[in-house]
Amino acid sequence: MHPEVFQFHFLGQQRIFYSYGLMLILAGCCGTLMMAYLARRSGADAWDAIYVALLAIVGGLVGALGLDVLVNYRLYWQQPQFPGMVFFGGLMGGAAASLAFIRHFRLPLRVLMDAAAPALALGHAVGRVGCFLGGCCYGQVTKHPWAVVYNDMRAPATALSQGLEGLHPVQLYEASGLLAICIGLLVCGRLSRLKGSIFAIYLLAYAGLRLFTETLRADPERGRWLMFSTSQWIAISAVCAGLLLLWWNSGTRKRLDPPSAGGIREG
Amino acid sequence: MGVAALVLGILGLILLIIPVYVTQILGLCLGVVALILGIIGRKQASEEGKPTGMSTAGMVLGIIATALNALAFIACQLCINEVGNNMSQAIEQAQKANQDPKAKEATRKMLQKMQEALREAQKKGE
Repeated sequence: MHPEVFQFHFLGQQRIFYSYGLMLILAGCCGTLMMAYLARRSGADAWDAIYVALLAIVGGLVGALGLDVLVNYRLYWQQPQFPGMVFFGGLMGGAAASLAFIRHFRLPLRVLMDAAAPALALGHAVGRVGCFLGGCCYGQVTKHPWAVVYNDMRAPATALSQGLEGLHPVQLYEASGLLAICIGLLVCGRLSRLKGSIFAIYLLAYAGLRLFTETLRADPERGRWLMFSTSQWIAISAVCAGLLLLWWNSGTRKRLDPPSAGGIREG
Repeated sequence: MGVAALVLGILGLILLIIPVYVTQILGLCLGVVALILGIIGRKQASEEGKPTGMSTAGMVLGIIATALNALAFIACQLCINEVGNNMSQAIEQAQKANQDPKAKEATRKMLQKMQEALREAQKKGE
C-alpha cells in the first residue's frame, strides 16, 4: 500500500496529498471522459454528458457521506467526526442529482444512462485501487499466496493484519470485477436490442459482484442486520431495481424521453 | 448565476489555503456549490445563446476547489477515523496473541507504533 502521494510545506504548515483522494479524482476524470465519449457516439451532446457526470460525482459524494452517517448515526452522535463513504449511498445520491438535471433540461434519459453505466464501472474500479493504496475496505484473514500483509500504521487494515497476517485483497477483486463489467457493458452497448437496458444490466452485475465480495470483507464498523451486511441488503435492492428497469424498458410503459435539441430519437 | 459560481469558486480556493479545519470544510462546500451553479449557469446560457465565460470560470474553479479538498482533506479525515475506530479491535487481537511470546512482542511493538501514529494524525488533523 501507499497511502501518501507526497508531502510539502505551505504557509508554515505541513500538507499531505493522499493516494485515496488522488485515485478519487482520477476515477472522476476517467468516468467523465468515457461518458462524454459514449454519449457523443450515440448522438447526444458531449457537454450534456459532462454536466451530468460532474453533478453525479458531487451528488455521489454527498450521498456516500450521508449514507454512512445514517447507518452509523449512534457512533457519530457519541463521537462527532468526519464520516466515511459508502458506495451505494454515492450511487443513490449521484442518481438523484443527475436525474434532476436531466429532467429539468429535458435531456435524453436512456441514452445518457447507457453512457453512464460503463463509465460508472470504470470509475469505481479506479476508486477501489485507491482503497487498496489507502488500506481501507479490507478483507478477512487468509493463507492464500496472494494475501496482502499490511504493516503501515496509517492503514485501517493494519489493525487486523498487524504486519503478520495476510488479508484478502478484496479491493483488487472488486476492481477486477468492475473492469470486467465495464468491458461487458461496452460490448452490450453495441447490440441494438440491449439499448436502453445497459444501466439495468450494470445494476444486476454489480449487485452480484458486491454480494460475493461482501462475504470476504472484514472491516467491522459497517452496519449489519440479520444475516446480511447493510451493503448486501442494498445490493439485493439494486437487483430488484435492475429488474424493474429491465421491465420498464421492455416497452410496457410509454416512452419518457422527450425529443431533444439534438434530435435524438430512440427506435 | 455565472457571477455567483465565479465568486463562490474563488472563495472556495481561498478558504482551502487557510490551514484551519473548519475553513477547509467550508471551502469544500463552497467548491461544490460553485460547481453546481457553474454547470446550471453554463447550460442555461448556452441554451439562450448568451456568453458562457463567467459560468465556465466558476465551474472550473469549483472543480479545482473540490478536487484539491478531496486530495488533502477527505482522505486525511477518513484515515484518522478508521485508525481510531479500529484501535479497540487491535487491542482485542493483541490479547488473543498473548499466548504466543513472539506474536506478543510483535503486537506490543505494533500497538506502540499505532498509538504514536494516531497521536500524530490527530495533531495534523487539528
